[in-house]
Amino acid sequence: MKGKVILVVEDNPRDEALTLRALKKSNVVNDVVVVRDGVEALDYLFGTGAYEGRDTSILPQMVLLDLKLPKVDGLEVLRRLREEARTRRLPVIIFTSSSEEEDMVKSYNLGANSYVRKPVEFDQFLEATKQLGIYWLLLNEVPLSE
Amino acid sequence: MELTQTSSLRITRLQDFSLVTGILVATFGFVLLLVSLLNLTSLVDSIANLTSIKANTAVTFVLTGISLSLIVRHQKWNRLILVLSSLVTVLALITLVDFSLNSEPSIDKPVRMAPAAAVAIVLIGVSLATLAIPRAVSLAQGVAITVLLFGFIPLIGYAYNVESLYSFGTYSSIPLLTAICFVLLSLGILSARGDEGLMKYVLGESVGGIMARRLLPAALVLPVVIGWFRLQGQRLGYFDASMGTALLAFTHVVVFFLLILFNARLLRRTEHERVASVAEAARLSMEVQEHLSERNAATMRVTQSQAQLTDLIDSASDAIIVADGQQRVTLFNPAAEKMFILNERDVLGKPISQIINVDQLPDYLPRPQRFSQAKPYLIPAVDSEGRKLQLETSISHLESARGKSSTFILRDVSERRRAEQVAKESEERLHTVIENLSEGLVIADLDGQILHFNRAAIRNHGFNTLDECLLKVSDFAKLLELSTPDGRILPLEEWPLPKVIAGEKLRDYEVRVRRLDRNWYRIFNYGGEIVEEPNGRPLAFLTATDITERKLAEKQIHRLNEELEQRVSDRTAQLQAANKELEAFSYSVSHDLRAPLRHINGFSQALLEDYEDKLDETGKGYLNEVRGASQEMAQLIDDVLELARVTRSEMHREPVNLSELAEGVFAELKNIDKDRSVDIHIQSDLAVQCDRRLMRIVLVNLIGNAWKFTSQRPRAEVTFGQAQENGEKVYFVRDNGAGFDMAFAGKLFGAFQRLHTVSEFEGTGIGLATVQRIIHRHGGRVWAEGKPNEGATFYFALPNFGEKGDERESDTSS
Repeated sequence: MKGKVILVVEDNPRDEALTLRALKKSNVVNDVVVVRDGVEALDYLFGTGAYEGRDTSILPQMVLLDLKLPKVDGLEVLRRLREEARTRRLPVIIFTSSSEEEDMVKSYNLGANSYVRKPVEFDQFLEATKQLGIYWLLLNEVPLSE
Repeated sequence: MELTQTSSLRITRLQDFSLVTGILVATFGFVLLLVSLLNLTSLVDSIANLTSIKANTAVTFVLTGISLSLIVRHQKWNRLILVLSSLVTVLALITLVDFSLNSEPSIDKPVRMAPAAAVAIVLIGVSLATLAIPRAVSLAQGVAITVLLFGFIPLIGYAYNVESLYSFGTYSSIPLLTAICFVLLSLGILSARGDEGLMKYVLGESVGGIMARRLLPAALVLPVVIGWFRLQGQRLGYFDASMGTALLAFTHVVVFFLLILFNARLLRRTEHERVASVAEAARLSMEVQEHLSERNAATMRVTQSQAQLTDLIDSASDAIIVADGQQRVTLFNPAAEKMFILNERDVLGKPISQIINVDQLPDYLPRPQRFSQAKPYLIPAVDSEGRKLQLETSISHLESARGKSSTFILRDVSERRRAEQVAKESEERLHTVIENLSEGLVIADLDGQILHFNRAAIRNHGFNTLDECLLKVSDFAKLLELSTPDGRILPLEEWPLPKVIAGEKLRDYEVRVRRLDRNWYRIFNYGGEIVEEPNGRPLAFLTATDITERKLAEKQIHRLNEELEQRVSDRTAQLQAANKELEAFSYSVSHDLRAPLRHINGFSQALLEDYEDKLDETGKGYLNEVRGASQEMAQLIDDVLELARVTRSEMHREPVNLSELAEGVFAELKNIDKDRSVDIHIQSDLAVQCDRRLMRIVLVNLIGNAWKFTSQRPRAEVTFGQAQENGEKVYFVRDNGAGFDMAFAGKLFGAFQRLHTVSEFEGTGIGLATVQRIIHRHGGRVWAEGKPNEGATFYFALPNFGEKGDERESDTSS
């Protein structure tokens, strides 16, 4: 399974640092690609913009998608991914600060695979990251692409 | 008139003369009888020196004298007069028969009555007898004139000494006194009936009468007197026979010429007087005529007014009865006939008391003079069929030349009075109601002629008096302009009244009425239809309700409603904007406020881990405080966000089993805090209408608090149950924990208010505020009772929605 990347969509560098730290501490071996806004995330996934020419047949193992993002927000990114056949089954975990009911409902309606609130307490944060890694990277199975 | 009086006076005097004559002759005869009976004939002869009068002649004188007197004074004694005069005639006839037989006189001894005297006496008897017979006066008077001549001839004979004139034949002569008596008797007979028979020509007022009265005495006396003078003159030898005759003729001519001349003058004067008196009479006649024509005119007027009066009496609806002074009916008009069911001809002349009981009328009899009472009397009466009448009676009495009369005017008020009174009262009542209706009422006939406006209608249409309104409906077009509520001007045929007259039943016909003559308009709600009077006459009536104020009020309300709606929508928009802001705020709080806390916490942790060897215990302790504080802050943010969410979120009421909900909460708490041993009491099946999610938050907070504040109790006890308080269902959560001072009870439900230190019991102080907000959103109440160290009880009451409607009502009202 090596070579499969984890795409982290996170605009806040502190959160990015903490997330990477947590992933590392969770013994996740996959490469982590970080994009800092929605547009960049879409460019990466669809091989456009800065990622022009990237082999888009290689999809991330999972996407940790924040909702509050510059340019194009998380829910819009999710909607675009679910519109595209290729990315329709891509595991997308909403990883965000709030647990607003509205956000949760919208996310699931758009086809999010999970919704996880980032705990304030880092120990819990770490635990959550660990669990995600175990579940989505090890336990969860996805069909071979096409 | 004067002439007639003169004439009648003359007749009376003649009759007196006639009476005197009769008495004189009778007395004379009586004296002669006495003389002959006492054989004093010689004495008489010596005194009178006359041929002695025979006894039978004397008897006839007595009888004729009495007869004449009786004729004058006692005309009704006709039979006695006839008997007496017949006796006289018979006596004289016997003498005459005696003469004709030439025999020994049977009565007259020693000297016979002269045959001429006997004839005269027969004539006198016949004359007297016929005088007693009516219509034979002329004959009697003719006979009397004959007798007069009989008497006159002997008198001339005595005057001229011509024996042959008073001595007839050889047997006897007529004595002078007898001849005088004949003259007197005949004059007496003529005078006795001066106004009848032949004498009326002499005594009448005609010119002939006057002439006869003047010339007759002269014709009778003057020739005799002049003849006597001629004879004396001749005897004494003053002139011879031829001269005497000539003188006689001349004297006659002169005397009669003068006499006739004198009479002619007199007659002429009389004629003048006559003409004058005729003219006077004509004038008088004219006056009389004028007077008469005036009287005729007056009579005409009287006749006219009488006709009117008769008409009036005949056509009067009141019975009129007139009675005369004897209280007998003289007039009974048709109304009276109808009232009493009697015919006038049957009651005329009958006593009034048979019809009306006049005794019942006070003042009627005691005051027979004219009077009229002001107030009619009420007297009972009965008609000819026995029906009882109650008569309103007025009487007037009148006394005129034709006598007294009383007029009764009667009106039957028995049944009618009551009916009338009832009708009148009913009408007055209806009138009062109609006039006091606040609704306008208009009545018209089907020609559109207004018959009535009630007061409200007059006022509502801007008029002052009923008279102003009694027009044709078309006349109102000059005064009013009618239009629909949206301003279309109505032609006359679309006006309410013409529509009703056309047969339409109007209901709620809203019309704007404008007065053209002033700045005035009202809005009316018209209704109406055609109704029929009991007599079948159709009437159009219209009701007009002035709804101007109502319309204005409606307009105002409409405007206010619009304003209110506008304000509500403004408010709602503001509220929505505020909510949006709040949501945006909450959103950003939950995202952006938590992120730094997470960073503080995360990096503190990283510091502790990565630089563990460079930090002493104090440094590590500080970093742990930083982490704790960040966690607390995160909890606070979560609680505040929940409080905000409780306010914002929509409510979904449904039946909720609170007991089950509480059990779930306890189970969670036990799961989290596995070390705690708490006695839990839950009353089962407490169901209520509420929002499940919000009510769960309530129980989480209340039970959580109880759980928390009993943590220091060796035997913790928490009860969830229901109680009745003033008939209201009250739910409670009771614990035997730390409790609180009631002095601070008011602070319990305020946000961020805490009665305990964080070191004692952790918490943000927002839980009870959230509870209160949720209960209030349900329309309920929440309160608490407690004592320090003895525990606390938190109560909440919810209005009972969704169960039986009437229960809900009684619950909300209690």
